[in-house]
Amino acid sequence: MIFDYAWLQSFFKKKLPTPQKLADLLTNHGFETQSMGSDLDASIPPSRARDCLSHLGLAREISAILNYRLNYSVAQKSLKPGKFDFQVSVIDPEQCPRYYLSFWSDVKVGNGPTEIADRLRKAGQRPINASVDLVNYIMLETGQPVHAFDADLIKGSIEVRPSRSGEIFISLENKRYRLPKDLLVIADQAGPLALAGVKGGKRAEVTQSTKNILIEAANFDYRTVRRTVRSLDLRTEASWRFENGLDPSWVDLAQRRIRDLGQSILKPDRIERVVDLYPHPSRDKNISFDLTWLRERLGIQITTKQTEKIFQKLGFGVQIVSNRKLRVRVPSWRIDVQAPEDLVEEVGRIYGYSQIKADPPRALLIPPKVNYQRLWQRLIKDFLVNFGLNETYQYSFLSERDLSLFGYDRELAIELSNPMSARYQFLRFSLLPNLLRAVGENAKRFNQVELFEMGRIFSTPDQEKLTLAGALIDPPAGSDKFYEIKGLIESLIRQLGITDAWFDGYQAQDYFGGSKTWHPNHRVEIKVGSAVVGFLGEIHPILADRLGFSESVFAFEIDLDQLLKFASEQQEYQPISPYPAVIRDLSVVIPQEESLERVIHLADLSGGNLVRDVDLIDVYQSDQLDKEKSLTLRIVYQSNEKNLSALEVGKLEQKIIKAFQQKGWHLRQSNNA
Amino acid sequence: MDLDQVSKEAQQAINKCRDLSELEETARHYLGKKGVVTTAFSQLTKLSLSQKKSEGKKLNQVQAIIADQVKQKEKDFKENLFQSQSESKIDISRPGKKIKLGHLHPLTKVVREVEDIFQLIGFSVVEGPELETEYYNFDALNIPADHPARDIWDTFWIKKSKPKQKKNLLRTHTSPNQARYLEKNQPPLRIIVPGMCYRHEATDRTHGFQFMQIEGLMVDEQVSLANFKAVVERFSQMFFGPDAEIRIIPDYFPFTEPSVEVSMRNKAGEWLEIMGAGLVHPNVFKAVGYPPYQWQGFAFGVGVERLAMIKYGLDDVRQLYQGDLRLIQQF
Repeated sequence: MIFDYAWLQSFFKKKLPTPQKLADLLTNHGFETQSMGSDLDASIPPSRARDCLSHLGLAREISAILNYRLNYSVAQKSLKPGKFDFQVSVIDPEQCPRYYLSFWSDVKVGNGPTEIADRLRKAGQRPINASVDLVNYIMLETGQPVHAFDADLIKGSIEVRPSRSGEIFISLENKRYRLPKDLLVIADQAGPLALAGVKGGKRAEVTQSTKNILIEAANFDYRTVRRTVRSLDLRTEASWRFENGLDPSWVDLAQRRIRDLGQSILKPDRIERVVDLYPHPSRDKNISFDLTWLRERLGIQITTKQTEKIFQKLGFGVQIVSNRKLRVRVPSWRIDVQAPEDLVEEVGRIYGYSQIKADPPRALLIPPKVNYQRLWQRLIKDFLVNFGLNETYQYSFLSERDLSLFGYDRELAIELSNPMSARYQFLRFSLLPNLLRAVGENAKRFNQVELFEMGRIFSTPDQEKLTLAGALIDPPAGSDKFYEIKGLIESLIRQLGITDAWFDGYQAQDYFGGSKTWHPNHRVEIKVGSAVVGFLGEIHPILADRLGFSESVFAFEIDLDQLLKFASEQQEYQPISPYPAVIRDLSVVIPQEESLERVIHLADLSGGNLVRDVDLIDVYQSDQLDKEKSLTLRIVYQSNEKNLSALEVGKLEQKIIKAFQQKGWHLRQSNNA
Repeated sequence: MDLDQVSKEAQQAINKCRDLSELEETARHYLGKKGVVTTAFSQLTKLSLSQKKSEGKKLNQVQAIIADQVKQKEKDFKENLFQSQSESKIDISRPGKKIKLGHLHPLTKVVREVEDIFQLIGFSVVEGPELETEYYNFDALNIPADHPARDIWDTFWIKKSKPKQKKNLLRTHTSPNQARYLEKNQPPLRIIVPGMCYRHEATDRTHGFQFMQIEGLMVDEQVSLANFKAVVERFSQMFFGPDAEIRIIPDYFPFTEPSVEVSMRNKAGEWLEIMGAGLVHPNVFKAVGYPPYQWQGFAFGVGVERLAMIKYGLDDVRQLYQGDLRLIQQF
């Protein structure tokens, strides 16, 4: 809200600091403020909107911060009730806790006084006429919206009631609204005169020719006002204040203050009270406040006297009960202050957080719990970075088009009810769509692009998984990339202490239903034991083309929640054998469709304990062998107890050969290295 | 066999060698397993004892002479080789070979550093869901439905698949984990919770609809705002350097009381908000079933992008979610 510096100064006899200094002070004590010449732009926090969207409210804060005396008084006498030939009633006091109406006869509505017009202008409002200026001025000073009706244009009784469906309301600006049911309106027999707490109507507008006026100061419930604001998409200075929940006691202040000022401005013949419908008056509340507790919470040594002064300046009542207990009376308009902790804030805020001396906490020396999930995440990221991949973060959303492009099951995707745009309509089902797009963008500038992301993916019902994905292009050496990624993932999984991971190309399931994602023959499932933990391979050429790639794209996506269940930190030392290893190569011809992984596994298994390692060193495929492929395995034999003789190694080798032969595979000549 | 002859021939052969491999060949011819000298040794068995002695001695001498000559020749060869090797030149001014280096994302670096600092002072790192319930994101944090303060957090709501389904959302802050952790653990406790958050709001240079936050929570019997100040000052000095300047001013959050904002002075001298914080509101303790006023605590939520902006001088948070290598490779 914009505040006029001179207006604020008018509340004090003592000189205020310069606007710049005042702005800094307000900022440090709870109201972020910028000075703009002789204006201050203060952002009032929501909790204080009830009492500080007004010059008086901010002046009260300033008086507490600076310890200045606040110089403000209003008419003390209550208004006498008059006799009127119309009724005023409120249907639901919960929606309208207080309705105060006064009658001003024979007013002169000319131009408003220039002093008021100036202040309105500085606070960002346009002066109109004496009546309008006056009610606006009262609102900006006290925070309580006030409205004036031309009394002679009202037909019959006044009712504060819910709107009827289809009722027409014409605003002061001549805008026509067809109202839905149940918005709170002020109405006479002819229909709505005003939208309660939001906007006045044209029908009973006060003009230069108005003779008699009704001035309304009312309190409307914030929920009621919000409903009107949202329903009609209509926000006003008044609705802004009501929406924050004003206190009904402000009605009293406003109606007294408007009399003080209005007497000289509108020069009424007489002012009489029509009604003050206020069935449940709001009350101040008392809070018992422990000063020791206050000092402990803030960590400061504040005296009783200092504390008392702060409360008084803020308009609170203080009674000293004992040397550690106060009884604080909180005015009804500070609804934000409900409990002792709220009082702690008031003291701390005015005392100044910059004045609090830092004091390291004293606590039991409990070492932090090791979060292994988090450690693995680090290890994985470091591993991939060391291998040359770059980390990215992408938005967690996908479009409907993405779902169909990658072949995801729409039923499994979680949809937002209020997305930023169609592009971000669904929660991401996979990291790959956005990651591949980032690879594509980078490919315009870099030959080699290798990205990865670790993040959450989502699927119905309410499923969330930590996932790792990578995507790579590296032209023109595309043909080896598949094995490079496979080796990378193999090593990564080994780094996590997982020993029974393997790759299954046989009847691979579609990972999370992305049926158009992978090249049907250039991908494998990554498995640990029997669990599928992810996929790696080449992106389907059709998809790659749709995404704008002219080269092959390779990727992997791993369900980390699943994979990390198998991760183990335990690393056991294997004694280094003092005896030499014997290395023998074995060449075997196997059917084309046979899995190399199975051959290696079989060699390892059938050779027994003394087989230390089996490596695939060559795969050969000639035209004559198109139904078969020939491969060479390098097998390392070693014992921890003795030198293995040629005879012993030969026996082990025979076991492997036998196992191969049982599969129907035949040997080519074997070379011993 | 005439050993003198053998010795002489061997010497000639050795002298004729042109390189190390020829020398090796020659040495093997005489001294190898099936070499001339070795063979001669094996033939000694056929002789009488006295002949064995004299022949054997002679043979040993010949063997030693040949071995010596081989050694000498080898030394000559190596010296020549070293000589020519050390005279060779390479262009040492040529740049080193480019090594393929990957890079961590700057947000990861920031989060790690924050985690490390807080772990040093006994904070455990925990995580929580991004897909959150209305209860944990709002109600448990003293923000009931209809609370005007709910407007602060513009929320992405999940479309219900069944009408009776509970209202779910994308967490608007990491604070739900205060309630989640307090429910399952006993104080005293100290945690930090890093994670992605989402708000349905227009984006600009300093705001994204997706961003990372780190929640902090310390609960103990005696915890004060002065304690928080000490922790946050220490943190900022460790993270930004000993000259880091922070400012604590009042703010408003329904789940802390008092609530404060912590700002950091950037290089241009402006104050940039890096976290919201405060003392845990008794209603939060109440929501998780703790007896009122038994425990005290402070909580804070740090904006990771803000830390990155100040630390690295980044000027647009939206760049952080585009996967642009030109940015990532600088870190």
